[in-house]
Amino acid sequence: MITGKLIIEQVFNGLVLGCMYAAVASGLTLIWGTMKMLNFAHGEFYMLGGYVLYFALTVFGIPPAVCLLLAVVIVFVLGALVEKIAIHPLLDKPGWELSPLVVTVGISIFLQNLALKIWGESFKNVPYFLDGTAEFFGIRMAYQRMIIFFVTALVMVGFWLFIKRSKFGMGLRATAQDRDAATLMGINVKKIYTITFGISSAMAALAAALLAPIFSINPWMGNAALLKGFITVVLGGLGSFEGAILGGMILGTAESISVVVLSSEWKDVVAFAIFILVLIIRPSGLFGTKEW
Amino acid sequence: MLNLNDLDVFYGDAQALWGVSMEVREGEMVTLLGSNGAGKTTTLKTISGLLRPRKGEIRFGDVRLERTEPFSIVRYGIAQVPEGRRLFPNMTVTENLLVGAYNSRGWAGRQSTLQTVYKIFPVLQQRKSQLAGTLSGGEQQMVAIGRALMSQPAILMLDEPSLGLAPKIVEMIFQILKDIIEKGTTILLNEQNVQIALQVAHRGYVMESGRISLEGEASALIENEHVRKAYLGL
Repeated sequence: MITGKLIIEQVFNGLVLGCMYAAVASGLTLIWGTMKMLNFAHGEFYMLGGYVLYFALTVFGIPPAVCLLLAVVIVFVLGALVEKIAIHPLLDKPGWELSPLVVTVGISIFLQNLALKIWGESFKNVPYFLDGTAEFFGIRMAYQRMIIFFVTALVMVGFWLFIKRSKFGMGLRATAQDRDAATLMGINVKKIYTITFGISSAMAALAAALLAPIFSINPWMGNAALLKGFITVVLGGLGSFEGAILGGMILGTAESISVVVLSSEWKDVVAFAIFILVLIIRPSGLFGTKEW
Repeated sequence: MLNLNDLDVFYGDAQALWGVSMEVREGEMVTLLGSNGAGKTTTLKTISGLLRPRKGEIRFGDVRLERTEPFSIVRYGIAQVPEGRRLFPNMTVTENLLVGAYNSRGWAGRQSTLQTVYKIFPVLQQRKSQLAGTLSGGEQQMVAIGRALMSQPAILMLDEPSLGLAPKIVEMIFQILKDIIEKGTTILLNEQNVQIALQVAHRGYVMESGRISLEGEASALIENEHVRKAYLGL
């Protein structure tokens, strides 16, 4: 029976899912906007975020809030290191424009198999941070999902303010809009790239860590996240932050409503159908390709 | 103050500068003249570190600029107004100016320098919340100059500031450059408009096919037979 109540619950679940898509996608769009490259290893930083949370929470018994922070910080450092070691040396080589992109494919394969080797192929499950559900006017919402929604929303707003208001954010936007001019102004573009990569990885890690109790953790979990992330980014407009948020919400809600209206096998069909439709009508995405 | 010594610069395998040497002394305005593709922009980009010489040295006081990280060159007091202005189009006028102070030289005093820049270009204060990409060409050039001034430079390098601007605006900008010199900032100016450049500058270098072909006092260059024929159409 499809009732209004059920639809409202599913819309909320969809927004929660959308938060995850938005968090993953805004990391991708950030890298595209600043470094003008695609990062195929983004899903693996997402995966690493999941594993950090798993070990911190279930093995070491650290409180969930600290676990989230750990996942974000550790994956930030890993992301920055990977950029410094693997991507940095490939930038600015005439005729090598595609090599940073190709190296991210390599990093993706490497990290996936490393995770498989170290942690094995068994799926890891994480308990809810907070059990139970809240009820508003007869509409039930799990606390875990509310945590996901509010934490992601808070981080997104914080990130937005950071980009718009801080000195670093100003340097990042200047670099995205005109690299050479930014260098002339005294901005260390390479340092901006390293930190940008770290922030982007950390956002993926946050999404994975928040969702860990709902989805299980495994070495391949990044694949689906990356694919959905790319779809979200293109749907919203490559390089657009607003687009990544809106795109994520649209995809998430559409998927979760299609689960009740059609069936769960149809959710990817609906997501891709929306994606293809938007591309036919607006090839540059909802917000168009934009600079930061 | 600034000495270029025997610079060879390449784009890939194509040589763009051949043994370029020049000098800029404190307090003067030096102009680099020549037609399109003569190597003027390449010379400025090499000074500001966007290009690296394969041979030769660039001395700024005791600092060897060709060995300095490009982003830290501005910190020593060299600011560039690049060709085509190269503003940050999706940032406001104020933000563009503040980015100009994004270095240890300009950051601390940014608010008072900002007021100074607004005093030099009052129209920018009226436009301060407007996105730089939506300004007229003349206003954009003012932002570009103001942005370079935000680092409180010892040397201001300008690449074709008159390009594509109405004669009235060009006149105004050169008047401002004169004022800037009088306040003690040294200027190195790339200019295709030889007439106006030689009227304002103290000394000049003429570049042809990547080499310095002539140099001298501006008053002497303006009388020079070759300059008059090739650049002034006299």
